[in-house]
Amino acid sequence: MEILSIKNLTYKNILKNLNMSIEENKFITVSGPNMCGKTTLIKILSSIFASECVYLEGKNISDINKNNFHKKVSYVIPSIDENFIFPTVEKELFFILDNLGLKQSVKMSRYKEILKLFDLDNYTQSNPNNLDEKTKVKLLLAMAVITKPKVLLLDDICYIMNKVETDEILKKLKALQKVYKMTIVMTTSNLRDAISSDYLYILNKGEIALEGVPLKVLKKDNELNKLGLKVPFMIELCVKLEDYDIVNKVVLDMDLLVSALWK
Amino acid sequence: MEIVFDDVSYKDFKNLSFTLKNRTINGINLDNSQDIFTLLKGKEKFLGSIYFGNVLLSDNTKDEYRNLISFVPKNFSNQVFLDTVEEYIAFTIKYRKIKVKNQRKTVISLLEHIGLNESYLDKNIEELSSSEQKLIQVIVSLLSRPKVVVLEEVFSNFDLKFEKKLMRFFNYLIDNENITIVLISRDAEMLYKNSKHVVLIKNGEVLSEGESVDVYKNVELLLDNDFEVPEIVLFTYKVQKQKNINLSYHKDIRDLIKDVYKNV
Repeated sequence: MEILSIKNLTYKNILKNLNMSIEENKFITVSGPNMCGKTTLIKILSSIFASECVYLEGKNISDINKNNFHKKVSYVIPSIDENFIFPTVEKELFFILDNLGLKQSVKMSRYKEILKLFDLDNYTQSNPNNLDEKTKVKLLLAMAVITKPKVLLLDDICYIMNKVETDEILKKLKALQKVYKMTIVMTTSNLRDAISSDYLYILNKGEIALEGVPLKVLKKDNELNKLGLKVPFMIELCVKLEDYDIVNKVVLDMDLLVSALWK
Repeated sequence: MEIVFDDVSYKDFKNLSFTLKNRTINGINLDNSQDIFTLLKGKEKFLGSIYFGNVLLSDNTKDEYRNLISFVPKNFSNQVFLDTVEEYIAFTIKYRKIKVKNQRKTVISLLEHIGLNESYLDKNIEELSSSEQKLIQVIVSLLSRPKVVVLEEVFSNFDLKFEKKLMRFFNYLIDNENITIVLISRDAEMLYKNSKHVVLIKNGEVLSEGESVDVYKNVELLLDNDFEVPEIVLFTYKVQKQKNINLSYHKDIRDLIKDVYKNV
């Protein structure tokens, strides 16, 4: 079932006549070169920028009461979430919990659940502004997810992390999506982060340049390179080796590829 | 200008000794860039010696030192809510008391060399993309005519076009302005590709230092120390290890593919 849809969205000179239909419980990735409109799209979907072209469960988001909207939609935009307000991680999380009108026992169990999910148990008394980058992102995610939203919007949350950390965060998000039954829309500047998602959109100059199942889109190495995007190493290697008739499909596991190449 | 760390200890850093080479793109690969940034800024007390060219960094020399080194932090901040790029640059010049001859001409020339143009001066700085803001930060860092520019996670969300633009600019600065570039990052892929000389720091100690290909091809050392290995290097290593076939360590995937083609 469709949960979020964008109909003929044009925004300033940044997004042009954009149409997207996002299914419930899917993990959608949006990528594209610098200045393609990724962050603007997330800001519109999270209602930071006003637009009348976005529908949540069939209702125009400009007609939805702010409180109701934010119960259903959460977002993490690290570039604008730089500063935390409270002196500890615990206070930061409880501020949100307190506003949800939950019973004390429910509040406590959700707090503990979230701490565990994002490995924040050891940081409850730390000052959020002093956390390292990865833990900061985990806290931002915890703050977004603690309301159990139906839709989670993420803007390039892994840009400052290395591969191992990114994979860890993505794995957590995938698990979380299943447990909480969430729809995730994530932008990324690194196509490697898109491999495991359900659907991938590539934007260029505010328009959809490519879309589809990630592996199919990512195999279009020449088109992606022309847009200034780096194809993930294993996919680029396999696609180019396919051109030489050395392999006949994309193998994402490096050991398997090495074995396939030299039998 | 060369920077030499000789037995430097500060916070978690233990006896760091390494050299950042003159007129080269240097990389420092480590988890937390903040402390190395602070050390290079020369603002905090530390044990050991840091040489800047032939000059030892001390209370007597630190003012001179600060004029010769410039920094581009990973986050862009516009704390005084300035409007246009021109205002932002003018404010920074005034605030940092930088002396710039022919200010407008200098700025336009830098904009052009970095691949932007004069029209950027009138653009609203908040409406620029994060990569454009980063390029403006780089330009601002050069106005004091430093000999060394230290950049923290500068390529973190750049696409290939912006990356090439900035790399070309770095090479221009090295060739024409005798500037030394220092990239501080956690991203081994980027440092392998873009830096010539690299220093790896793990748990506060120097794990390895040298030409980037030589440093990253020491895969076992990297893996033993939980260090990220660039994928192109890891592939070459696995082919050697598992199939006993020696491919060369390449930086460009097209060279690797030719090598694979010759060897299968």
